[in-house]
Amino acid sequence: MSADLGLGILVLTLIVSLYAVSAAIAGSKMRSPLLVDSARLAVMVTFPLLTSGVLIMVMLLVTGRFEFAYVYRVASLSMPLYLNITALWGGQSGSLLLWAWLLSGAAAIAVHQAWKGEKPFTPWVTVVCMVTLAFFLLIVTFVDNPFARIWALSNGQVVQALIHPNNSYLIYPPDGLGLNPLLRDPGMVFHPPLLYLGFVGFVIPFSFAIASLITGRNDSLWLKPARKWALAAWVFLSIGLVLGSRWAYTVLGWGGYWGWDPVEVAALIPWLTGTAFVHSMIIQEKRTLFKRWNIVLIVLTYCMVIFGTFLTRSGVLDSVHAFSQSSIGPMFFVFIALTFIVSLVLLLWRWRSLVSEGKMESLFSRESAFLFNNLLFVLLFLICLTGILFPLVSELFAGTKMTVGPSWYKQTTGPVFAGLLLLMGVVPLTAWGSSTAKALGRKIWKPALASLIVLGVLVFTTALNWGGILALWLISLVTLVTVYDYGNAVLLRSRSQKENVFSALVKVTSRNRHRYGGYIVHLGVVMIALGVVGTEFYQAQTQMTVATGGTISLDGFEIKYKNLTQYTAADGTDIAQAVVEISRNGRILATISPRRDYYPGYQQSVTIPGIYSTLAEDVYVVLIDWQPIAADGATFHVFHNPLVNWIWIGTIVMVLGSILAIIPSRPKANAVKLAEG
Amino acid sequence: MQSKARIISGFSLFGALIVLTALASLFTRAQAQTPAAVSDDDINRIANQLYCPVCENIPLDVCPTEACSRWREAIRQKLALGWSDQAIIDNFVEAYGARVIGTPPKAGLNWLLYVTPPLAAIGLGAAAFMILRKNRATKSVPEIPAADLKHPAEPYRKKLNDDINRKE
Repeated sequence: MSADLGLGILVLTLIVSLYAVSAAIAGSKMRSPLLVDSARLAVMVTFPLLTSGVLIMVMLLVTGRFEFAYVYRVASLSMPLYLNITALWGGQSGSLLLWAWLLSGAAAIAVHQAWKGEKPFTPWVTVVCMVTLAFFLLIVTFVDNPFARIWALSNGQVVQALIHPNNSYLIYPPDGLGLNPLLRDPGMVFHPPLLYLGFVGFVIPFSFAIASLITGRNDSLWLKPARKWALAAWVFLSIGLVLGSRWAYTVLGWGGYWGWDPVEVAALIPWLTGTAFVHSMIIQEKRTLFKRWNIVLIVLTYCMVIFGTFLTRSGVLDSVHAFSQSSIGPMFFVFIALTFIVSLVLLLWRWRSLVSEGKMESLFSRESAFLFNNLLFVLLFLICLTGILFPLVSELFAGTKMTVGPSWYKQTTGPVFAGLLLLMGVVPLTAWGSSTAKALGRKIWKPALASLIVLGVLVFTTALNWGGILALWLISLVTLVTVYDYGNAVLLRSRSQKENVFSALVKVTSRNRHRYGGYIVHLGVVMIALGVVGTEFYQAQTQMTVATGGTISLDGFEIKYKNLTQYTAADGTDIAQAVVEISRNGRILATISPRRDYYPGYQQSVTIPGIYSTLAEDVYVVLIDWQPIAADGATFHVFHNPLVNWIWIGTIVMVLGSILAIIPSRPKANAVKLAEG
Repeated sequence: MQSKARIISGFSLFGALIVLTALASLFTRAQAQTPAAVSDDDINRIANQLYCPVCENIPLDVCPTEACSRWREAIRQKLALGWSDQAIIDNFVEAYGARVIGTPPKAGLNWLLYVTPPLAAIGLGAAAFMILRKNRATKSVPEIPAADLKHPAEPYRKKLNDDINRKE
């Protein structure tokens, strides 16, 4: 019953989405609002339909219906309820179903929004969203359906099929395999859905861009709805990426949060082009520049979103984060190629009409700074794309799948990230339109001088590491410029309006949320950069075997091995847990418990580090090995990660700033009168 | 007399240097011959530059598999025998192919990996130069877009910016 219902819902949603595409195209061509509205309603229907499909799947997962192949692979009676629910996105077909469900929800809101506000775009926004949805539904329905069941044929062969094969009977396994051990973590609750929300969110601005091209609107009307969606998608993708890093930090036991793994890079790529777009669209809004460029960026972002999903789901690249192998690769490849070609043809068709109306007057104007920002983001995108494609290229042409590791990425992306930081320090003080180096110099000299004093202090007080010192100086420059510009506006308001500083801060921010939201985002990025610099340039590590009561010393910390216990958990996992005491200058700071969990079903170990965390640093202890018979010695890998927690704090600040930037500013009438007077 | 003392002192210094060098050499040789002198950090220094030949994209120093544990042990033995870091890495490349290193050697098709980023940077830089040059060639009077003027906060924002500029 559930299998038939699930399959029925998927097929019905596919039909409805294809109907929406046909009705929207016909409605647009025949200028029939009735047909367009019918297509809109069809889009609205896909969301409740897929919601019911998702709910059925969740019900099968939590009730342990292991005759369903997907449930058997990802759920288990031994897993807690929340993990059995999150198992929905623990495998390929379930995660693609989640993708489709999120897209149907986003499409329903976007199409409704277009219908209310940007009516001419409605049919084409519908077409783009529903073509994308239909593609995912095609895969979920006909290639990798989560509602397929396990059957035993008369010849003893076991198969999975949607429809009852002849001379076969259903198999009811008593328990499932459960999630891959690495996925059995609270991080599973938020990281994948947020990443997917970010991916799906970028489909909407792409659909408005395509609608703008097809309708021939060469103004910036499409940017109004696209801006909000792009910012929201950017926020979700940013949180998703950072949560993934945090998860890797606390589960993989590698001592770091980012390993430049192909799957990590595949998720970063749409973020890079998306960030370029988020900046670039401001130029089109303010100065009617970069019209073609914005289309190119959002097309690239959309293609990279699908490409990222393809890389993580096709099994074409192996990774510690890739949990599936399948044959859906060619379908994704064809879809990406088709969407890219169609978008390119549309862009070329409208090329002449998309002439920028504004001009860039000066090398030192804000427009130029945004142009450089965009080019650096695109350069990062090209570097990362080269890095993840090279193993495939080398396998294709040289027969060997080469590994592109962190050292290559760090060498190539490091200077570009430094350039971006420098721009972040300069941009807030640049002016729109005509501007000169002298004018910029007049504004920047005070914070620049202060940052040079910071540089001097850094040279004399920190370990001589020129890369780290340069990065810390750039961070100080961005911080000082941002605070200087923000502070000036607040003080000015405070004096002119006789308000206290806090009230002036709130009012200045609320009157120009886009600008100051952006400033807060920059401060968040600076905090993240601080964490990255701390771990990249000042991380220390050591590995040692010590007897019980023995001590490992690292960067002034004493790590004392107290004892180790081994036991089998209720779910059958074999756990070896050490107790370690962290102290500094003779003062005990914390007792932590690094452990290693062995999952016999998967024959796989998971290393859970013990972490002593403060704002200044982490002491990160990994249990590498132990002597089970004598039980008097254990090997630990200890990392000292300075400033790493600023990465997580910075993300929260960045998200708050983004939310502020999304909310439209509401200036008070008297402010306008004041300005006019 | 003074010159004789200087010569003796020079000889003493020379002799002391020879004795010290000999002692240092003996100490170094003793260290190289004792397997216990190879620390886990020494092994990780090399393993960190290598990738597990079995599990793709997992560095050898953190790979938890039994096979990788054996490879790390092989590194320990080679270090104990006095092999250099590069010799061990080369040995791994010879045995398992160039894919076990995270930075592909600069040869053949691998050059693609090393020339693409600078070429992309040059291309994008040239694009920026052309855009800016084209815009400067057709320099026009700066204008504030109509959309900005319509924004009720814009005059206030402009006044604030003017005030800041005046203040400076």
